Amino acid sequence: MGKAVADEQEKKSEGRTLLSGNEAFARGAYEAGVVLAAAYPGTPSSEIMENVAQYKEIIADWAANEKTAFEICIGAAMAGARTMASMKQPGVSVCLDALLNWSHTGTPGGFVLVACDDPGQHSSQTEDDTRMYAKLARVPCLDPSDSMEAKEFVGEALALSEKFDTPVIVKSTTRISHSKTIVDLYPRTDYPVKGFERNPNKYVVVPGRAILRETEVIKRLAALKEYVETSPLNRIEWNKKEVGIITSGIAYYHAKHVMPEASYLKLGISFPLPEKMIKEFASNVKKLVVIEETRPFFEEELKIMGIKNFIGMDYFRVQGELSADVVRDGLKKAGIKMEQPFPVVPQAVDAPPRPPVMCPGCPHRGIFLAFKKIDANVYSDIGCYTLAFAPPINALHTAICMGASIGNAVGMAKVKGSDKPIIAAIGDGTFVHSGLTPLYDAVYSQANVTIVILDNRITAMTGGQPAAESGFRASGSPTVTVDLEKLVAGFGVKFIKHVDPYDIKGCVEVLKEAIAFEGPAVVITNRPCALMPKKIKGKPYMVDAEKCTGCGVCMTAGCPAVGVSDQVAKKSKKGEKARTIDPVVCTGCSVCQQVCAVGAIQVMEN
Amino acid sequence: MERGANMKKEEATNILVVGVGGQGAVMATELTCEVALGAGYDVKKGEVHGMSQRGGVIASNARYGKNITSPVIGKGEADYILAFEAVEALRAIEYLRPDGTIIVNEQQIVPPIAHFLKIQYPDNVKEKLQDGKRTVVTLNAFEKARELGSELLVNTLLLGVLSKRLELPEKTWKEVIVRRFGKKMLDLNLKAFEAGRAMKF
Repeated sequence: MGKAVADEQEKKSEGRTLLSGNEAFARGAYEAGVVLAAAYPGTPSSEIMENVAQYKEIIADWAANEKTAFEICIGAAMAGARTMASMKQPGVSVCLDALLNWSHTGTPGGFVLVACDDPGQHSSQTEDDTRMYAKLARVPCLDPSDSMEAKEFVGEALALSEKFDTPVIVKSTTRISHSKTIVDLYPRTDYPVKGFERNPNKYVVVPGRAILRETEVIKRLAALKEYVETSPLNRIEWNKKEVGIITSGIAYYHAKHVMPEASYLKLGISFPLPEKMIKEFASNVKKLVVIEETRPFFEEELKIMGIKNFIGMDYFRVQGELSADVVRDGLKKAGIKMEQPFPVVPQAVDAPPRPPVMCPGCPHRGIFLAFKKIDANVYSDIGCYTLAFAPPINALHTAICMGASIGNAVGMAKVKGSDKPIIAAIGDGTFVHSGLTPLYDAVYSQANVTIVILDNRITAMTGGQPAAESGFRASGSPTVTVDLEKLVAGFGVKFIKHVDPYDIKGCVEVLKEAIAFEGPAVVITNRPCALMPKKIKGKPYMVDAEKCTGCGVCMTAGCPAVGVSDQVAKKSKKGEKARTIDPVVCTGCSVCQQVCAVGAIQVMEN
Repeated sequence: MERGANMKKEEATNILVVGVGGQGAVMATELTCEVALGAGYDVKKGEVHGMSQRGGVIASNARYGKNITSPVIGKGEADYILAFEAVEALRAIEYLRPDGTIIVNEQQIVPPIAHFLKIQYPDNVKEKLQDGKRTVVTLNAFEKARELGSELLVNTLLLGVLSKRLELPEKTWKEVIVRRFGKKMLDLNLKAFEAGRAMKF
């Protein structure tokens, strides 16, 4: 940023505050005049849309999935509107077809995709790297290091998008998205919607025309490679020249923490790379170090440029998240001397593990216990209910990707590969995201599968975002609800029944019927999430001290409200401790009562 | 805040807040960071949320001072650890500086999985933490909060205990608390904060 621009901004500043990266991306969209935003929830990206939806100037909605979000944004951008799509990195895989084609056509309205990687797989099935998608799509990828940059880079991306006729990706990571750092706020600049202008040579991607667009993409990439050499987003910080570090994103700050004395090439644009700048930097430092997260992307690009003599990812970490500790250890391993003293690390103390569990009152608990009772092979999906794979519930056997459950079950049924009943278990949000198309396959091939839609009417795992079944939109305003039963019936499913997932016996009966049915059968659960949008709290249950044998069967329900008392159970045979229920935490769902073999659990009367 | 500046020494106070999902550990870090911002420091708050909402481990980092770089506190770097739960204090101890202070809410939240894996909840947490060099402060904030009127006050009570040890102005703490809490809970929270500050160990 030039000084004149900086001074101008200083004047207009609306104050200084702490924002998370995700809040900052949303603020960036607001300030840069974004007119429409669409997203699908996914940690660590979800709060971007939650915050965008708070700005009344932006038309903001959750979409059915990442691909439809992206396509809605394309439609708005075709009309010249500034638009922003946001999603987690696996979502970019879902919308890849749209991204690759939109890269070919180019965009009249500024188009930014904020994609959040999850190094360390805190909340993700894969640890992939958005920079590789940027290279594949031949679109620029910006790489902010803190919230201020997160906000500013959205505006930079939109300007670049319009200048070079290309969608632009801003890549985040869990640390950038979820850390809070100081941000200066500026007012919004409006960019009016220009309106759609017909241009079939550009917007109709048929082979004869697409081949001409390919030429344009090649030219555009060459122009971008020139641009990044002088972009202020890439900068060299000269300090001591013993060690020069090429880095980006959060890794930049981890490295600065450990080795402030080194020189830095901080890449604000991680694709395409500024080859001349990198070569100049490399030739001016004694030791060159590349510090990057997730995949050795810079490393491979440097090798293509002919730079081979550097300390790279092997010294740091080839899997998982970076931290200052990992960076320090890597530099030490590479024989680099650091001026900062090494911290003295105290001896670790053993602590029992504390994995996440299903909440008290979770509507998924009872239905999965029913699956266990009938010993079904359960092909499952992505959501809170995936926690049912873990002890003590242990009642699901596959979870591959969003929407996979139904297709997986159909394939298994086709080859008669399961000697046990086949159940596909999928949440309502995931069903809408990508369960509809495989349901078509189940009907079309008349596969003998039971599909259970776990309808808790919210996207729970990611923090309670609304979906088509929730009845409200991202901003909280009311909307219609999609009737899942009619939807399923419309596909031609002949067996559709609703169950109360708190009623294990009732679930077992309906599931047996569904399994006996020839052809695809659909069972829909009818309890909302216990936490969102409203916290459910019924009369709590309690353990009758006179009846408890301390057998611990109640704990196979895996509810955090059920605990062990200090006292030996009165009816114990081998001195087992009595069980207890925390009345504050218990929601009164009654599942533990149904599991108890001796009738020792009952409703607490006042 | 000096952004993108050349070699600048980082001078930071590092506070690691740990607990169990749902206890309010993240909010404690949030308030601390707001106070540090109000007091004119560079601030970074680092944490990961997602699965941990479901009763998992919470570790939230607050770093403030001059020219803060990484938002994450490394092992052996925390000046203070504020542990909302006893086992989480044990899990986090690697992050404390040798001469640092750990404040522990002795409340025990037994991980549901512990029953299943037949793991005993550790006893004598205080003794396990003491090594003669670090300062170990323990209290049952849950009980104390109940006495003060609500279990929801654990958070501000613990912040009171922590704030007494930090160089951030009391006035700014109170301003942030006033901004944060609705009328219904404000007086109780201010009372809990004062009670935490007044506690002798």
